[in-house]
Amino acid sequence: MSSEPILEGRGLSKHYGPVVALNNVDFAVYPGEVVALVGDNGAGKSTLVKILAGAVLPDSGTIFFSGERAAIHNPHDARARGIETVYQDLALVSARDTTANMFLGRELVYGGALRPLAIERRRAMVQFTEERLAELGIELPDVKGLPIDRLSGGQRQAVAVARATAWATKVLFMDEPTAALGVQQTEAVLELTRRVAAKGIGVVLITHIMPHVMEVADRLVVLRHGRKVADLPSAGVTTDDLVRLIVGFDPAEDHLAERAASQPDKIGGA
Amino acid sequence: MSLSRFSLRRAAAKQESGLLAANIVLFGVMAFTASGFVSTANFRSTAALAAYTGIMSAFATLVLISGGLDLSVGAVAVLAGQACALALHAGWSTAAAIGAALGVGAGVGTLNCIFVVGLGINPLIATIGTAFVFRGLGLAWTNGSSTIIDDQTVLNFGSALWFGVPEGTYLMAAAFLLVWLIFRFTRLGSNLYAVGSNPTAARRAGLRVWRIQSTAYLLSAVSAAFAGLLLIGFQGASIPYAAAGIELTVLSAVVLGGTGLQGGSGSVVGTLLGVILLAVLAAGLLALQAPAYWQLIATGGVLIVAMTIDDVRRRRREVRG
Amino acid sequence: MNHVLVRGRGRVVRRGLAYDQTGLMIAIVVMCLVISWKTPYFFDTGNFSNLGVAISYGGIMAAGFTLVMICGGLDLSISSVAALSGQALAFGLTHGWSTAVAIAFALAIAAACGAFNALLMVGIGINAIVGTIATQFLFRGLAYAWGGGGAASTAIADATVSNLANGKWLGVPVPTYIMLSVFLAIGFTYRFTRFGSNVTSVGSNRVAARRAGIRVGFTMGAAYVVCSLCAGLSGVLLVGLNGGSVPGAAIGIELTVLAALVIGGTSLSGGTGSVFGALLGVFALGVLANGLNLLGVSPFLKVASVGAALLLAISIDSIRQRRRAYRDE
Repeated sequence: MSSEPILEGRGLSKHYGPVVALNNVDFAVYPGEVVALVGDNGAGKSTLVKILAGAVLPDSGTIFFSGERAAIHNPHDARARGIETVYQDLALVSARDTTANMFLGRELVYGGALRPLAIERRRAMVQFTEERLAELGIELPDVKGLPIDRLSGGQRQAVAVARATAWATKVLFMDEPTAALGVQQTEAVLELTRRVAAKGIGVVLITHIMPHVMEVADRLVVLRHGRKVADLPSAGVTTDDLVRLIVGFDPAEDHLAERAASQPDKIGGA
Repeated sequence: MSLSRFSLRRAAAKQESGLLAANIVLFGVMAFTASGFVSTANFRSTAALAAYTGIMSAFATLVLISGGLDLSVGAVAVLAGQACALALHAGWSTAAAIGAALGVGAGVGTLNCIFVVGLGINPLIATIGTAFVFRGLGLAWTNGSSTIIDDQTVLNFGSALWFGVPEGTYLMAAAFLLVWLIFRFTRLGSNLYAVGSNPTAARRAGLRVWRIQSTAYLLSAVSAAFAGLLLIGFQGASIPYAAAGIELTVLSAVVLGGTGLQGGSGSVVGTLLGVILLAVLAAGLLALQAPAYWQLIATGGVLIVAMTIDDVRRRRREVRG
Repeated sequence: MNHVLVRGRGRVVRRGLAYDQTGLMIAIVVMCLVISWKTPYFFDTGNFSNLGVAISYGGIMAAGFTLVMICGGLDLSISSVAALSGQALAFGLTHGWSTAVAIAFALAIAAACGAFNALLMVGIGINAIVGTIATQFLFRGLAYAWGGGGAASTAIADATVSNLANGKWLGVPVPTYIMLSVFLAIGFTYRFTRFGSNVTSVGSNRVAARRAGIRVGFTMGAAYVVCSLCAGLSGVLLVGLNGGSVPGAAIGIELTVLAALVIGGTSLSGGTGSVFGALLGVFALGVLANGLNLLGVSPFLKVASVGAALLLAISIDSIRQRRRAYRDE
């Protein structure tokens, strides 16, 4: 793991009217690591990722890519640099097959790349898709011809991840990738996350499911009410610690516990 | 975006007031530019024509709010009128003949229910299909020829005057009142809104969605049949080719009135204003002695303008909310 | 047709022709057999060329319409665009323009209509059903206005136009060749080009397509323009068929076209569809109408039969979809 972040945001702030979504946050992603971005609802995780992925413009702050100032003003700028995002809703086209989804918006064509009437190179795309899937250990029934609405939820998630990792040469953002999955599928996605990081790509995992975080993350970044409250390696951090950081619980200020201690038969008493 | 009943009501009210303003402006413009616009004769014929479109529009609002769509109303109206005319010819009593007409409405309505609610077919396609089928059957039945009506009651539907106002107008007012009451006071009304805005939620809440949707389609068809009686009364005969494309005028009135095609929101008052607007437009064009095609251009243009305004307004609301 | 075994689910997925269309083709064959059993006049070259001409002008419209529908839109104004293009053609010819220029003008007018539709449905975002109904009124009114006001048609005696509509090449009517070429062109574009892929993607999941960088507005707009161009071409042919430009031409055709598409397996919600299926649908309805004609059935029942065929086809499809849903879970 190198010491230079591949993607970094400094002093990022964003507000929507009176609501402060992000307040002067520094965030860095290193190549080859999995960093978990955690926080309660409304903490600002999605906003931070959207800014770094070009979907949203920050009110203030700077973005650095490979150590240099980068102008990431729209999703294209991000994708051009090898930054990809797997969204919560997957953004897949259910009527089309795996290959088509893999190459959505970037189909391989003969001749001029810009002409919309260019003929697609199906065979090359299918081969590429099969290779990418094999790399990540994903086995799908039929990458050409089977519309993905016939696949299971976990398989579709795999397609979304495979797509993003195929094009993400530098950074991969994953927004709640395991939220709607069963146990086995979750395991598969987490394993996928590790394999992607092993390729040297920086992976940012947004999730609020604690056990998953502890399983794959190398580093934890905690946001609360738009501020970063913690940025630490995951080794040695317990789930309890994590919950406290997310919720902002400070034992020294716990009035409830005090009262419970003084009145054992009433509130909080065992 | 706040979707509370109150804010929806406010939005609808804005549409309605806009329509009212448009109506007044249009009326004024027509009155000034067209001689003979402000004349009893003009009003009467316009009102008579508007009446049967109006009745269909009132209940079309009901269907649209429930999330459905019924494009078979024109065919039903004509077919019901035919049934009545032929029944009268065959010597049936007035009441029986009217019953036959309404029966036709109920029959087609049931068929629509089977296709849309039962089989889950897209209502656009299903009702276009039934429209085709029953339009063709109606034509085939009489081989394209018209049947004259000489029954006074039915004729009165179309042309009699009560205190100087055509009977049809009262009937249309009654129809609108009925639909308005349904929405304002009955459980059916609330259920229609619920089913239209979120059928899944409605089903989970225990509503019998299929029954509510079916009621809407049945009411639409029976009211269309009733409108058909007005039509033949006004024409003095049942003409199988009549009312071609009327469902589009009906849809226009409803959409102008602020009811969206996706269901769950809408305004009966708006539809009434929409019907009046289109009627005033028609009457004005008639008085201006504009060639018939202006009707088409004007209706299309008004609809486009109204929808554009609505869309722009909705977009602005979303940004703000 | 390749059969590929799907691992894990054990179900066979047919590549190439979709399952629905096999049923449709069988239905067509059955219809042909039944009709020819009942009347000797069906399997007759004269009849076939009548059939070919009759389905051609609706068929051309169906090809373009398929593109719009798969893209998630709808264009109910095609009948009016055809009439308006016919008026444009008549205008050009009666003003002494060369045939080629006049036809180009007619097509340009059609494209303009398509662009207007695109502006409303895509640019502003008006609902396609109501929006294209509105433009249907508008364009039709303009067609009447251009035609002088009444229902009278302008007689056109141009040789090229007439040949296009009434001529025959190797025994097959020219309009049929034109229709097949249009289907071929659109089908090829849909299947093999990036634009065709985009059409499906936009129709299936507009948000995903936009996120992936596909130009949604351009794709949908182009689909609307292509649809109108097809309607315009149809309108030009109609002038030849009718011997003049009739302002009331093609009224009601959009519903037959819609029926053909639905029968052929294109979904109203967009994303799935088949150009070949649309061709089959056009063919099926044409054979049906032709057969009813030959069997002496009242022409009014022809209208009813299109509706019945539509309802039948979509009911079968609906039931099959339900059964498939049960089987899957």
